Amino acid sequence: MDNDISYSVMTTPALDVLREAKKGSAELVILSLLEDQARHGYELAARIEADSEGRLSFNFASLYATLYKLEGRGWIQGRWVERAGQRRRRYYRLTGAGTAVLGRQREEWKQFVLALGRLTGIRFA
Amino acid sequence: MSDWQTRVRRHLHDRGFVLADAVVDELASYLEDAWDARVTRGDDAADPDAFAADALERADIATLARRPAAAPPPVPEPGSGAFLSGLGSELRHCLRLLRRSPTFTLAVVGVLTLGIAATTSAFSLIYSALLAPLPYVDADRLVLVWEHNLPRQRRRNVINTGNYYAWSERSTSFEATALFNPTVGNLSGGGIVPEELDGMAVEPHVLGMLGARPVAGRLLVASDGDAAAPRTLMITEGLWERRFGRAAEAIGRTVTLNGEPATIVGVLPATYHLAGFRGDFWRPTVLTPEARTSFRGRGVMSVAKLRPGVSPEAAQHELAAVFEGIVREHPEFNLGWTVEVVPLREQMASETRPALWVLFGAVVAVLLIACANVAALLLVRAGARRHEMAVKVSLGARPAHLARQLFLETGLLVGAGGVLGAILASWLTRLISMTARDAGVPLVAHDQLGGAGLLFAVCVTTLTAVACGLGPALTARKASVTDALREGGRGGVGGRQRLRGWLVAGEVAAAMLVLSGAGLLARSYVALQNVDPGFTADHVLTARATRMGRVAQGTAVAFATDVVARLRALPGVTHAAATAFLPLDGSLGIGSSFLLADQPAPPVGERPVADFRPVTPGYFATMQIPLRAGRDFSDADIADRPRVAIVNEAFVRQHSATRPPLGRRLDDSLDHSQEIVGVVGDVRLTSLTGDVRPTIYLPYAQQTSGVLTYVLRTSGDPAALGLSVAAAIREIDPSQPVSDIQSLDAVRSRSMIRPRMASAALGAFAAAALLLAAIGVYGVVAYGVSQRRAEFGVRLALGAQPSDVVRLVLRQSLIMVLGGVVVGAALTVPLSSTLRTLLVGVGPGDPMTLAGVAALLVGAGVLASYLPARRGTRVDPVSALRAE
Repeated sequence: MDNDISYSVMTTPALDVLREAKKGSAELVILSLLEDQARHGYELAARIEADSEGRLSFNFASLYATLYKLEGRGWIQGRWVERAGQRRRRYYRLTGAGTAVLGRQREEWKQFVLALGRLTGIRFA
Repeated sequence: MSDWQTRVRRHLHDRGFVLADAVVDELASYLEDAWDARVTRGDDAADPDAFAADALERADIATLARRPAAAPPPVPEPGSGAFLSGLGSELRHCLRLLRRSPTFTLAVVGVLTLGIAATTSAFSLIYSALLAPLPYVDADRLVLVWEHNLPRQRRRNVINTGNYYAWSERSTSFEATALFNPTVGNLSGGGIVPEELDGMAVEPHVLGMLGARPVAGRLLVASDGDAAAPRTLMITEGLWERRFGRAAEAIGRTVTLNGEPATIVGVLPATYHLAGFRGDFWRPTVLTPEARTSFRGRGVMSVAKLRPGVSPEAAQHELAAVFEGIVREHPEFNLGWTVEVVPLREQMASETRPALWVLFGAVVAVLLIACANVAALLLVRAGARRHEMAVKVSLGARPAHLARQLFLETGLLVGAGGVLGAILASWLTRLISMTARDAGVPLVAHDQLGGAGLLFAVCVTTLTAVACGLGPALTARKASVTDALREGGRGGVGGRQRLRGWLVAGEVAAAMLVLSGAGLLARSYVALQNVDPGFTADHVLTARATRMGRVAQGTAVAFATDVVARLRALPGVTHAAATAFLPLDGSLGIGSSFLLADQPAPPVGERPVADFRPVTPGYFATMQIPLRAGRDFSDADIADRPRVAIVNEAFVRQHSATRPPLGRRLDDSLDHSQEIVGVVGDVRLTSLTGDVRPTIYLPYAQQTSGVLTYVLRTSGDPAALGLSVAAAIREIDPSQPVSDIQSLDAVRSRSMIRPRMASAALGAFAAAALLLAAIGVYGVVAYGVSQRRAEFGVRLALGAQPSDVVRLVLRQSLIMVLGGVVVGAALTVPLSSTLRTLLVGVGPGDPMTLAGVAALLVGAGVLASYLPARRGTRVDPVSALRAE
């Protein structure tokens, strides 16, 4: 339910589209960052903030709320790991189901952004 | 458990959350990583506790609620040690929350401080003026007895000694009675500079009757009043310190009072007074047996002590019957007169009471506005936190626990406001009483904020806390999870915004009341300044030189003539003269009955009365009082020449309208007959308000009096001549004290001190009311705008102009403000009639004033709404929508 992105721009009030879009984008971002390697919560938050040059940031409570939600759906899996010379931390990695969802979501976002570009004249780099 | 886990758990407990251990561990781990990163970056290293608290405070912990709580939070039982430690951590949590929103905290504490300080300081003034204990034993049994002549409009007139001794012997209502009279005296002798002092002439047993305690020496006793006994006097602490350096040897020392030797027997406390009358010295009244049975003239006052159990009303009833008998015995003197028994406290408060109650009303209005403001601010905050509350309740936090937290938060705010308010109030009270004392208004007996004022502050603070804490606490208890969550972050905008609108409309209405009162008093004060006193006050210097003791009439006249001649010779002086009673200086002067010789004498008791004023030749020219007909007094109008009089226009209007006044003869109550030789313009003698009474001027040489005030019209600054005037008078008599050297402008201005102070005080409260109401409007509009940012964003995105958004906001706030103005105006019209006794030249409910105040409030409302409305137009549509 939550990750269903509505494209019914013509009938849904603008607010709802963006709200849903924003929620969806958070999931997309997290799934993407976990694609190549497992990461812990603070690492994720730090990467998001650094890579978006501060434009995107998560309140850490919301970050964990999203992580737990994704874990609940079976798209990611968290595990307490104690690496040499480091504290115990919980690392999250992408599951098979998660990899499939990520591929599908990437395609849907691409289509959405293209449609948005045509409609609004906004150019995406 | 690591330090970080402890920090997270403590915080969650404070906020009433319970999360799974795994989640707690993970949050702790995150915070530790974040802290390490911070330390590595070399950011300013706050302490880790504060860092964790800050991060957790900002975190939307409620979103983690989907991890089910393992168990409801352990709520400590009241009374146990755990309860106290829980209270401590809750207090810390509240303080953190308040520190996190400094604008809100400062606004609430500031508004409360202002409101509580204003209320408390006004209350301590009112308490000391109306309610504080009087410095007398059995003060509630003390009354003043006046004579009363309603047909002549002489209420609470001074009394006659013959009447006094007659009723004090016959009446059964009183345990003791005494005569007293404020007086002035020349103190000299012993090589000290002669000085004119205010004093009290009293029947010597009065001090014992009042229960006075001497600071040093002894009180006056009955034997001090014997005509044959050596003269004695008491002095007050102030004079003792100033003239004798508090030396014990001053007791027993002989000084010269009004030319007669008298021995100082004791010292009274500095602030000692009798019914508000103070004096540097208290001397016994020495009455001859003839004076005790004299039925001529009224010039003394009396204080009496009721027998236990006798009410003032009963005493009034009994005394009136006794007095009727005295009237029958001496009808020619007493017909038309009766007595009035007035409790001492009522007498003392009667002048300041109306102004003080008006002030108190204004203060209560200001406090209500402040409370409404605080309530609105707390409601806004409660609304914003409703979502958080609902989630906490859903997670098992007990509503009572949350309500307590809100109460605690409110209590902290109100406590801070109360403490700061009390400090500000004690400072304000001292400032006001100092100002009042410098201005010569006997308004304040207590300099410091007394226990009563503080008690009042505490009561007001507590009431405010309960009133303000109740709303949010009730909301918390009723917090319905589904409702709150359904509304998302907006937290019940509709109903609550309406309630805030009502609060602000109420504030505006209360501000309208206070502002109207201040406006009426200000207009009245302006009108008072424009009242023509009948003379020209600028460029006139006045100085009083009183000949005391038994001075032959010829000597007094010769002295006055000599002084006037010398004053006229001073460089820069164009006119000089003297009068027994200076207009507007607070003296009541002489009033007496008279007859016009060419008319049948009216029955006794119905004879007309007029003010009598002895003046020297040239007085009218000096004061620029216009001569309408006839002539001024001349140097030839002396004691052994035919007696003459000059009357004012009011006299002509009332008593000589149909016949030319010049040449008519007047018989006064001392059986002197004088011819009217002139008519002069009306002068306001005792006050700038009220009717001008018929006045009869007599030549000083034919009607001398002990007190004489010299008046000089100068070509330059009158104040520059003060020293030369004193020197000129002392040249004639080195032992003559000269007092009250001041410009006539200053005298006139001082006569307006009460209206000026009332107007200034109410003006200050009106400014506070306006400011607070504007803050209230601003707060509600700003909050409304912040809640509608997204809506404005959409409107702007859809092509609305910024001016449309401003208009939208202004229209809604104007409805609120105008509603308040209409209600306020409707209340002002009936309530402002309580101001009637304080108003001059403007009626209560004056439409001009109301319109001006309404315009001011609407203007302030528009300004207070415009600022947040403008912010509404600066909403970036994209960011507003992202916030959704």
